[in-house]
Amino acid sequence: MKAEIVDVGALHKLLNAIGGDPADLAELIEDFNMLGPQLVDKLRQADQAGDHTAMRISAHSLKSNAREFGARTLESLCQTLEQQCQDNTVQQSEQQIMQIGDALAQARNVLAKLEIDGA
Amino acid sequence: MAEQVPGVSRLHSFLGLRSVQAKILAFVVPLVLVSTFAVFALFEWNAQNSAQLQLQAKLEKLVRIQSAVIAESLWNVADQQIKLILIALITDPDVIAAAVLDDRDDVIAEVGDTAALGSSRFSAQNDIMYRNGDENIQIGVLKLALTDNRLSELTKERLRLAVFLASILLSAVIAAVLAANRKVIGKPLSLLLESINSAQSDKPRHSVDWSSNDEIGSVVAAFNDLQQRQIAYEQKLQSTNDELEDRVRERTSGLLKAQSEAHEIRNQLTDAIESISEGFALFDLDDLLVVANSRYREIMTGSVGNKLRPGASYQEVAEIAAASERFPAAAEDPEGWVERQITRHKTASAPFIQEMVGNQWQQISNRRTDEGGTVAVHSDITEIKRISDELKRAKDAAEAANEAKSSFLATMSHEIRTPLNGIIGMSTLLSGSKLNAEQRDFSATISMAAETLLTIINDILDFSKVEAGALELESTPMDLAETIESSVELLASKAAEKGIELACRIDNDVPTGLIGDPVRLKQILMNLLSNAIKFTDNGEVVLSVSSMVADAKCNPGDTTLLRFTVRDTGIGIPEDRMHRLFKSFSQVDASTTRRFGGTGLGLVITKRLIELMGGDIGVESEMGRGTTFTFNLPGEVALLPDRGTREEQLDQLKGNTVLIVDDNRTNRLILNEKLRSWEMIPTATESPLEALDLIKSNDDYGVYIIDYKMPEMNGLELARSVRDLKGAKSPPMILFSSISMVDEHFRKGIKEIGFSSVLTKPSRSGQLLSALVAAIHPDEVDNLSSESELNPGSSLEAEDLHILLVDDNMINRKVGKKILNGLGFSPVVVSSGEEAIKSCLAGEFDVVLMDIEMPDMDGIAATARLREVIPMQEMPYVIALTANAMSTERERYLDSGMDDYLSKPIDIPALIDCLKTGGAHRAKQRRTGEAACATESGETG
Repeated sequence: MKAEIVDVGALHKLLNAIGGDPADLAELIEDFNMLGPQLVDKLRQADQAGDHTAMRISAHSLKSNAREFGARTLESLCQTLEQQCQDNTVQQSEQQIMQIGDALAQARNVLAKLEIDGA
Repeated sequence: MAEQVPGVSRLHSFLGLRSVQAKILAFVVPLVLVSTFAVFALFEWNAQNSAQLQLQAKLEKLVRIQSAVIAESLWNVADQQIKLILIALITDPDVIAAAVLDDRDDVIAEVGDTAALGSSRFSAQNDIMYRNGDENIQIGVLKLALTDNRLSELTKERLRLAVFLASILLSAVIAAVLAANRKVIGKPLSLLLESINSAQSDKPRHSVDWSSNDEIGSVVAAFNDLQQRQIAYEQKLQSTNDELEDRVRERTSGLLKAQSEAHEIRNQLTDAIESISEGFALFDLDDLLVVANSRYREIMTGSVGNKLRPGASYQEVAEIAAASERFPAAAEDPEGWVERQITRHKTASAPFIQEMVGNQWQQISNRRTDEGGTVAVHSDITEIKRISDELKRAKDAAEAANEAKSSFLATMSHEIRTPLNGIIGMSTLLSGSKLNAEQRDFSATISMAAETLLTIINDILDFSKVEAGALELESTPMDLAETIESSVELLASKAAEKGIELACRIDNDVPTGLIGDPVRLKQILMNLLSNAIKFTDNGEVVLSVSSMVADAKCNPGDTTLLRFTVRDTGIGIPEDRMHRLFKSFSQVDASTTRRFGGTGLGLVITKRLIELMGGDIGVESEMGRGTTFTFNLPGEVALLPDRGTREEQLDQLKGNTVLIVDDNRTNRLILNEKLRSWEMIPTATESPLEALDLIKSNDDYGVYIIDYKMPEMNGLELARSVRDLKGAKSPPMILFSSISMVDEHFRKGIKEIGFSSVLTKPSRSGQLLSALVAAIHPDEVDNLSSESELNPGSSLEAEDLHILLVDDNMINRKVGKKILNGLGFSPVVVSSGEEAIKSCLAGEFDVVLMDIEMPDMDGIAATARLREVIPMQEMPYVIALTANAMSTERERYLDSGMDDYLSKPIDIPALIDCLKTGGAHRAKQRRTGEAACATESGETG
């Protein structure tokens, strides 16, 4: 039961959901490559500003993307942060955000390796 | 004899003559006396007569003689002489007087009582004649008187004799009579009497021992005869009597016995009724009291005293009870209370509970008897109620505690998960950095331990939900094959990692659609399958699904029973551990836990889920040979919208030949069967070499299905050989593989050879169907696939539904848009709550898919605002979208103004359902809105 960096099943599901065109999926992954780091930046900013609401929304947003792409580790890290923001129990946020950034990088790495086409 | 002369009778009674003897004597003695007297009198008269005649004769003779004698003396005037003669004469005793008179009547001499001479009856005189020569001259007279004294003496003498004789005679007669009487009458009579007396005094009857040939004898004989007959009769009577008495005795004893038994039973019954702790009363057809025990009296009247007499009507009983101040409810409104009691009594419905003073409670059961009466049983349930209340309190407390425990578990799990995710994340990052071998090993161990922990915690979370009863099952139509196959698919990689075959076989008669909870069914299947895979090192894991109800396939709404079987060829479970399988926190043994990990909760959760769905689960296992889990699920057959397409696809495949090459027997069989059920003509072989031979010798296979992993040569190699053999004329090939698309090398090989489809094992039916259609009819593919399972929304009137998608996340927006496009919708997409409101004000939308978590204005606020600014009949159907996948959240969203709820990533069937509901909602809204507008305008909020 290894928590995969990227759950291929989820990707399959996403591909099916959006109509089965790998190009579309590739496009989405590209978007993720762009949007993901932006969200991590937002997290950082919110953390620096001490704005837990903004931090929660960004974490949530990143979590939902991570979930779409099956990036489980990223998803759970974001979930944790989101929950902490929600419960007002944020601890070592900077460190967490760093982990999130790393998890994102890893996920992007894996996703980039995937060759997606219509075979 | 019975007749007596009345006078005699009177005389007898006067004389007190009671005995026959006396009566006879009374007859005989006078008779003897009279006859003796008569004889004596006659005799006496005769004797008297003859004595008188003798005396007369003596007188006359004496007179004559003496006159002669005297004559001489007289003549001679010898007076002395005469005197002497007279004296001599008088010596005769009979002579009392004598006188001699001369012719001049002078007394010459006289003797004796001369007076008697004239008066005595016996007196005579004779002339004294003297013969003087021839002449007789009268010279005097002799007078003589005789006395009858001697006669009287004689008479007296005779009388004495007669009396004496008569006495003797009488005595003799009496003695004779007495003797005769005694002998002839008295004895037999006394015997008779004795016999009669004896009979009368109930002594044994005996015959009279008397024989004589007289009347008495006859009487006695007759009596004896009578007696005899009487005895016989009496004996007969006696025996009849005895018989009768016996019978009477028998009957009497029977009756007595019956009576005593009845009495005993009655006593027992009374005792029983009396001794039961419940109040018991029986009322007859007219609701009059027949019997009630003391307890009933005590309950109804407050005392065991006899206030309630049999015959009292129920109303009276109820009134007494109401007045007894024992029923708090009766105190407030006695009349109403009595009326209620009567109604309940008459209806004799279900038992009810009643409060009594002193916090006592009774349960009253009224039952109708067969005769139409009513039995009332009042049970004191104070204690039971107290216990039940206590139990309820305890139960509430326990439930609260359990809930608290579950919630604690959930929280704890959640709390643990957070740092755990950190550990996992960091160890993943760590493994990505430069590490030496030992460090890498450490890192891998940390990562594995953390993942195991995460699984455990997820299990606990699920378990606590199940335990807390917080698990709610959905009930939606699901594509059974899709659900089952997707579960299998998710585990395919795991099975592939371990190098075991994972196969799925769905029988042809299993309905395609079923009402149920697809997510939970998947969870069950994944649990069982991952378990099976976990405990299997080589061989296969096969999921089979079959229908237990024949012919249920075609009719939606039918109830069906499905049997799911997960069979593995793993290590098996020892017999003595089998029972622990489904228990919480228990695994087969500690070593298993160490080797395979896991909490042991998976099967518990699985079992609970199956039970929640109304099914049951069982297991069979053989050590070293494998384990088979079987569960049955009931369900309602559902109609799925894409049946038409499927039928079309099947039509196109009908009659086509297929060659299957797969070394795994189970897979071969499953495929073979599936294709046959689609009316194709499959040929299967386990060996690629044999397959090549088959292709060489007989080349009319429409399509080849090739497994990738085979012992002699792999699927790619086989495909290459086929290409080499057939060149461009090669029929389309479908490759089955367990390897995910990540493997670049593999992908390249596939591309190079040109398979018509590559499917991961085990493949879904739909996928296989589509792949086969694509292989056999490549022209139709586009046409079909666009309408196939990827577009199940075609049944929606897509162009009529205006959808607004609101999400701040670009990717989510894109994904959502693409999904909706895929379903045939053209949604308007905006990225914030404000924009959403603007869009809704600008144009009418039917459905808003609203993300919840958005900056500035979140989905809930935006929806609330929408409800403020949009007229009610134009208000779109708002579906909340969130990545918070807790089903408990759902209520929260619905409460805060959302119409529906979807979790992200979006599940397409769920989305379609929501959109359908939304469409229907809007259509209804429009109709009511129009109606409202027609009647009254301006009623909008």
